Amino acid sequence: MIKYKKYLILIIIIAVFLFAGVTLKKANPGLISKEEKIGVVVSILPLAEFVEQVGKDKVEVTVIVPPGADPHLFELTPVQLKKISQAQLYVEVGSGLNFELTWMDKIKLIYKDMLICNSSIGITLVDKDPHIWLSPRNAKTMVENISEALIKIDPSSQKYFKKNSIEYINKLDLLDQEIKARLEGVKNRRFISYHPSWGYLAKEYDLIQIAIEDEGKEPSAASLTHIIDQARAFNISIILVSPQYNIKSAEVVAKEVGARIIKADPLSMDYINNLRKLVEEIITVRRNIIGDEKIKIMNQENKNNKNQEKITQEVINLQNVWLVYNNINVLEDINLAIYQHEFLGIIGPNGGGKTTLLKVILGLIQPTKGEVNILGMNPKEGRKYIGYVPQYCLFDREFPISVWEVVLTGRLGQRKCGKAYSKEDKQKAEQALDMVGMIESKGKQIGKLSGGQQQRVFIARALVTEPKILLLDEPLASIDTPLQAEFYELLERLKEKMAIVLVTHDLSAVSIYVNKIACLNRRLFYHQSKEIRVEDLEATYHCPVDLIAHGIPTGYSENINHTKVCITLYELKSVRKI
Amino acid sequence: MFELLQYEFIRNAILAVLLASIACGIIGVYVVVKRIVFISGGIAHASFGGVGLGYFLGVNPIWGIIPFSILSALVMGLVSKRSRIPEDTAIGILWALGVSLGIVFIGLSPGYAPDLFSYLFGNILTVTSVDLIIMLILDLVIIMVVFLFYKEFLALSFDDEFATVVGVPTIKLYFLLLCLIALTIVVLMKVVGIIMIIALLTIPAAISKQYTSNLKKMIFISILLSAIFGLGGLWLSYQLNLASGATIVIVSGIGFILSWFGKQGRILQV
Repeated sequence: MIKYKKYLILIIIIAVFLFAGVTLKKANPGLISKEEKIGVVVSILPLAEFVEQVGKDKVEVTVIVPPGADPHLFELTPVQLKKISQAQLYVEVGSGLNFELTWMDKIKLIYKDMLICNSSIGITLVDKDPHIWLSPRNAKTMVENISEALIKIDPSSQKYFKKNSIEYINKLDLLDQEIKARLEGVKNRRFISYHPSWGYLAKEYDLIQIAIEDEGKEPSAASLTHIIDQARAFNISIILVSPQYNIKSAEVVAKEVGARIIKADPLSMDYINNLRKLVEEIITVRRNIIGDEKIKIMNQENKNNKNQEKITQEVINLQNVWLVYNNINVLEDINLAIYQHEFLGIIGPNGGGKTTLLKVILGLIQPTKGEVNILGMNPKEGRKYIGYVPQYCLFDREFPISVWEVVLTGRLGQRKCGKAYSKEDKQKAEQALDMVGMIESKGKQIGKLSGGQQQRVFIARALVTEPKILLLDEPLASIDTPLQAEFYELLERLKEKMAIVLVTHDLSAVSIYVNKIACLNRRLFYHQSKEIRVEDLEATYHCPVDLIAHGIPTGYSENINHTKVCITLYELKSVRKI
Repeated sequence: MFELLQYEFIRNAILAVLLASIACGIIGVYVVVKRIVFISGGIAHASFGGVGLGYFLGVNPIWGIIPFSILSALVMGLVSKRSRIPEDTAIGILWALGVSLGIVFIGLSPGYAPDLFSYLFGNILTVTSVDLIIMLILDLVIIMVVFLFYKEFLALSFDDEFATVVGVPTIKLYFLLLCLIALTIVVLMKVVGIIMIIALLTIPAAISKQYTSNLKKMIFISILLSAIFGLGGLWLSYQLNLASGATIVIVSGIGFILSWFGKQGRILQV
């Protein structure tokens, strides 16, 4: 019984509170005390700005579509419905925004007492484009509409609202003049926008907008090609994207036509500054592009610098390189181009000239014929941008040198001979050791480490100069198979920052991490791809090669006596059968 | 033993041993870790041509030895680095060529060559104070250069190819190192003689390498060992009335064998 009583009391208390809450709310509508603010709900952020600019401290604005959300797809939440129920004024864009189309009728039905202001009254829609607020002139009309609505709700503040709206309209006028002035003299007035939201702005200022998005859908291949063609034809250099959308297709177009992407938010709260910034950005991008084009033209004129444009992508270039040693051809007619962020694996039998090729690239060996270019420089200058990890077996295990000293030697080229290591050198050395996970072994003698650890130290030594290219000579020879995956993961991380060339005699060492594969046995077989052709392999290894499907040797394998050719399942995926 | 110190020639001999220890302690370490023992032997022997030149010109042979040893070091370096001749072949040729030039010069010069043997086998007891001053200056030069280029020489010795790639002027530094070896040979010549110089360049460094994995420590240990072997050999040669240079080399050799067995024994025990 006592228990029962407790529950009863609880229920009564709750009921009292609920009732009190309801009656309080009921008592309110229509009456506005002087201190109380007018509750205004708006659909999008720019409207909130307009309302706040007009109402200032007499209004409290709630925005339905939060920053960063897509107003086309937005759904109202219960909390927002509650907010709407407490407001006296709802300001809609009224131009047919998807969100408003779906929700406004319902809102109107539920909250019959609430004043609804259609801010688009007096604005003519063009092609049913709802983004009316994005032209300063339309914004002025909208501000006037809002001011009228606010006056309707609180006639006593008429003067206040009028004054504020005129002030803001003056600011919008100024913005209008400013944009006009800034865009004066811009010849190419076309731009691409991912979402066609800038139509009114374009119309106002004689710009031409080309939209990528196709009625709210990702563009089809056909429409993409059409846009790209247009962009090329009119030499369009600017693509506007809104932060609310997935911009992958915009990036595709930008890459294709060499345009720049500008992030432009049609829903920014800070309306005036947003537009001002956007116009400013468009102009600077245009100016930069014009500047770039001038440089390009200058480069083309300059015959000596004909490769300048390539520098940005091509890091190593070998042309018709021959190396003849005592009448024996060590390298025959090597042509090789390696690009930024590539991971090239060069395979070939022992004695096939792999290390020699690396040394030619490093300028340690002068080719008999042909040209070597490192970042557009000759190898002796260019090699300071190369991190070199030489073949492992070459040094004395007993050499009295610590890991720390080894890594620091990588920094020696950064200063004048005879100067001490600087703080920066030590920092870089520490970072590099940390990166390869060897920082704890800093003080150890190099010979006391395991093969894999030594290899890591040598990679760290190559990294301290922050190279653009990393050359590795048989780096896996000293690493146990289980640790090789770890090693490749390290390279995978480095690939982000530099081109990597890895040389090995062991086919199985070339793994999924390699982007491209070349075969070298005096001649280089390279197809700028990850495919190994059987005929190339046979030419490289000078023996019939049979690709061992799923590790089961067949027919030719008896003939493979000179060279052990083993291809794991990894490579099989990338080998094209003929 | 201390009564010996009252003789100037003994005091000079002791000073010469100490000065020689510094040079061979420092440079010997590089010779050992960079594995250029053979090329050092070549420079030492070829500089015999300088001895001959000194006699031929009638000056203190040391004035012939200094330029001649540096020249032979540079030629040795050039031939081994820049020509297609294999390094050991080039060293062998220059080694014998230098010695033969020395013999021809001596043959051409009138009169006797009084202390020729002291250059070949070393005679620490005939060191003059002029020799001492020259040794001191050469020591200072060696110390200064190694102090300045310690890191570069380390990188060069450890992996000269990588150092080249990084941008260290390895060829120039290598030549500089060869010149330092030439100067060291001048310093050591009076102590153990051209023929046995190799022993002092390698033994102390080789022993110290077994006990440390730090190049600086290795240098200090090998300077100390050189001094001990030098003074020990000097004392023994006085006591047993033997040739000082040869005794120093024998003492060093015994030291090496003992340390090697000691190390080996320890490894076996482990």
